[in-house]
Amino acid sequence: MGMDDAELMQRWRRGDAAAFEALVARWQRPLARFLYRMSGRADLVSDLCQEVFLRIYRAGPRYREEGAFHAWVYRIALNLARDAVRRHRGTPARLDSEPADGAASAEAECRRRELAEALARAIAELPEPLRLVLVLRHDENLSFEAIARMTGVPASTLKSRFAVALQRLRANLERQGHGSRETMS
Amino acid sequence: MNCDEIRDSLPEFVCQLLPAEQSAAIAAHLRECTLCQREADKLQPVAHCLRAPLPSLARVDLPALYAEAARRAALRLRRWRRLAYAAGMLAVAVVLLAIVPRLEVRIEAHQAVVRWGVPPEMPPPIVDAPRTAAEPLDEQLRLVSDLLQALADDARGRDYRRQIEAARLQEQLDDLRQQTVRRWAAAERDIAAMYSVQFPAKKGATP
Repeated sequence: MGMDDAELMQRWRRGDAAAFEALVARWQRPLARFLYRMSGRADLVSDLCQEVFLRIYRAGPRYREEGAFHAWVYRIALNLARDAVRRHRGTPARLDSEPADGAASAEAECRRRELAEALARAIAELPEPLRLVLVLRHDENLSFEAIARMTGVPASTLKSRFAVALQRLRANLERQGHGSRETMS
Repeated sequence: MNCDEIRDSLPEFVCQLLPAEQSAAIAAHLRECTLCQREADKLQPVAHCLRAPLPSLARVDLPALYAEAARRAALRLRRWRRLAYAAGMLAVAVVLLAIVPRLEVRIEAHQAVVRWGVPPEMPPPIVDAPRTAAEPLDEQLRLVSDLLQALADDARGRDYRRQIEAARLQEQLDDLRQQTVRRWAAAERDIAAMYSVQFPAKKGATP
């Protein structure tokens, strides 16, 4: 079993570059996913992800382990995503040219893109508190208790917000013509 | 589990976020409860949509990250240096502003004086109190009289000194006149003697 994040951070603070690279390998996909969901802009994710790790790298010597590495990382990413959304408001998103992981055919890829764009728009229309709990609970699989520790919002409130987020997301998708299971498969 | 508890957990159930045991219990309930099943069916498309694969997102470029970190560290160091320099200059300016107004440098005939501090207080100049009209008129008249008396005495003294001088000059003039007469008489005698020596023959002849 590999080392946990806290151990890797400690080794990185002691000057072990391999520990930092292990952290990058472990966290780049979750962070990219989180940044994509929170910003709704696939074209910004690469730069934002780079910036998050740059901040982690520079803050490494000052980092104090308090048992919440993931909370710290997500907080950095959330702040950056907020800034990016604010800065690029009104700027059209560049279409991504990368195929999805494991995409099979051109038709499936086309459908996937259409659905991904609709989903991104629907998520972007959610208020940030709902979007945050949806992403952290669904995509990052954090428990409501962990999210509560991270955000300071009670777990019961977060659970309610998660349910509301799903209902609003459904409504947003229906408005875009993606409400039924057939249109999504 | 009753319907309220089930519906409370339905969002997590449809998103497949619950532990296996809890999921199995909810699935069993849904098979028997059409109302709960209907609620779950409403959420299933959204959950399915959320499970769709994401586009390939970022890969962190570590060499670029290290280079950028080094660049920012250098920039930060430069900013600190500038800040420290500015703070130093400010401190020097404050010290100069505190010292210079109290510093006195003076070069005199035989010495150079450097002094710092507040100069000693000079006693205030003594100013004669202006005379007021309330002073008695007699005092002023007496003063004028004294002044006139002093002027008259001075004029008399000068006249007296001039008279003495004139008398002395007159005496000198008289002396000169007598000397001139004596010399003239002597000259006549000399001339008469020389004539008598030169022309002795004629009796009673005079030059």
